[in-house]
Amino acid sequence: MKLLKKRKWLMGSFIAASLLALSACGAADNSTGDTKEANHAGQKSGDSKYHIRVGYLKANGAPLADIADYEGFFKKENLDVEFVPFNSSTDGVNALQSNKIDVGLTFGTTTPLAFIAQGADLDIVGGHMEGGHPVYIPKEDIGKYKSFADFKGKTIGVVPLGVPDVVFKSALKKAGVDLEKDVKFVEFKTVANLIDAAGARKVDIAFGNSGFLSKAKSLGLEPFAWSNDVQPGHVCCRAVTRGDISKTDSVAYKKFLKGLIQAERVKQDSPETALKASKERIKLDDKTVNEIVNEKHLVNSADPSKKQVVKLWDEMKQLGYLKDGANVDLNKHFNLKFYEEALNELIKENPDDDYYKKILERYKQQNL
Amino acid sequence: MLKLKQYSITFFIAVGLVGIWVYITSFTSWVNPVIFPPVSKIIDAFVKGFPDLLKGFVSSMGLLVPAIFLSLVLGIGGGLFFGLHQKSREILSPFFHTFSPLPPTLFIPYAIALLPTFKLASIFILFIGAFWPIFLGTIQGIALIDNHYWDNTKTLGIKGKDFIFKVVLPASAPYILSGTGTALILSFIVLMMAEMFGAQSGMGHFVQYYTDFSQYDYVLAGIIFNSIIILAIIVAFEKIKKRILFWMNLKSE
Repeated sequence: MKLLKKRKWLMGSFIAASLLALSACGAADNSTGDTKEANHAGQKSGDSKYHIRVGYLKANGAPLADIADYEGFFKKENLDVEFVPFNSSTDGVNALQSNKIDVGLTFGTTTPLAFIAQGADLDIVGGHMEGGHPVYIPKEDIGKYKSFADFKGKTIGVVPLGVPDVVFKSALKKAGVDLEKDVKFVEFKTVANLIDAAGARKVDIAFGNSGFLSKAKSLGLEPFAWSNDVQPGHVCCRAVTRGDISKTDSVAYKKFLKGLIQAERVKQDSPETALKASKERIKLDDKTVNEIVNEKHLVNSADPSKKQVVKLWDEMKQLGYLKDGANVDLNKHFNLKFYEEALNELIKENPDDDYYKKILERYKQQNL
Repeated sequence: MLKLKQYSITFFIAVGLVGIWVYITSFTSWVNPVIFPPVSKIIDAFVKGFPDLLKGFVSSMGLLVPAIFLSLVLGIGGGLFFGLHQKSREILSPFFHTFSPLPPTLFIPYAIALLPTFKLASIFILFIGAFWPIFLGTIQGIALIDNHYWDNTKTLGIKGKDFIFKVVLPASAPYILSGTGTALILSFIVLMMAEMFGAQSGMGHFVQYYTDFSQYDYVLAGIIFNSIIILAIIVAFEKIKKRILFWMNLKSE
């Protein structure tokens, strides 16, 4: 009898705990990035505040958005930004498509382009990162290679469909290397796995990503070339949105890009502010965070850089990554009006400041 | 006394394993120190990461508890129904065999698209991992109930609630609980996948996060923390199992 009572008590406690946990599911919880009130970008009802949900890849962070947040640029615009982390770009773009986030900020360029090629209704509205990817070789092989043509006969580690994969494979082709016959590619799921494999000398060369320099060096690897040198101005993470943005919601997007444009300037003028801002999000030691955010080959720019995106799209086609997207008109997947509006507002608000006029000139060169 | 002796052997094996790690990482150059960090670095990472690990424990339990609860309710409920209705079971068993081996990661895009919040999507992924062992364990448990029980039930005229709670469930309990044990272990494996989107903290998130940055001292600190929690939960579960199955005189603790 006593045992039976005990069992009932045990069962009761378990059910009570489970019900409690279940009821907690419905409540707002920041730890899992659940939205609190607004379900989409725009204005919350009965409030003058705007709201936007920004998805980012944990491995890339969101440096410009962090600076804008840290410096109060979003607050000044009455914009409430909710950051939603992801481990995989594909999950992030899926969340964007199903209206769980409003902007994909650091999901790369190639992943959104691959989705667009499949017919996804996505638009590129701005930029975030350019360049910054190294080709790693073991330090004992320094001097062995003079150019990409010397990689013939070697085993190369890649993370397939990443920006470095596309940029460096295109460089190999340009150097006359037959990707099918002259080299052997070994594919890895994550950059960390790739660097570890290169460190263990399981591949001869690694097409790496930004953010792993000191880790790679500690494993006896050295950069042979940087993606910026191979293809100057090539784009990396783009700010991507859904194509069906209503007029009311569009204000929040403009405000968001306005914050990013201002953050770009802070990043250039004060790398230490960029470090402070990103430290809140990236939970690593200062040296590593600084390397992820302020490595000199990595350029943070909010410009959509349409011409470079089109170039990457063509390269992806040539490498056979976009067979299904051959008929998709990429030009229909740019929405540059938020960036233009944001920039024009900043010029109006700062008539004596030449900086934003220069940024407008750059925009014209890179997009029109 | 015997138990104490038995666990002292377990303890010495653990100390031995740590000793081997210390020797290899601190006194030889056999392995790369980045991938195999010395114990001092792992302890340092454990101490520094402890507040995050605790926070992660709370948020992971917020996902695991409802997922396991739902799996128990639907797994045992569904298992009872299909275990007792042979025809329905035969019609749907091809689906059970097709869906049960699928890795929960395949469902991530659908969970994100269909469920209203990331938290519910994570709970759903965990639920998929934990549901099948309980559901299939219950069906198997009912299928293996000794014929004497069925005969005695008919003779005594036991029906309805009494039939379920006093005959079917107790008789199939060993298999249901065995399935639940598997589900618990699986759910910790699936936790890594369930916390890959939308989560700012979590036991799986912690390990995954530092793996992405190749910070193996933190990865190992997270694995040690997770192992302690898993061990505690499994030990508690085994005690509960022994109590529920008191009539089986189980030897496991």
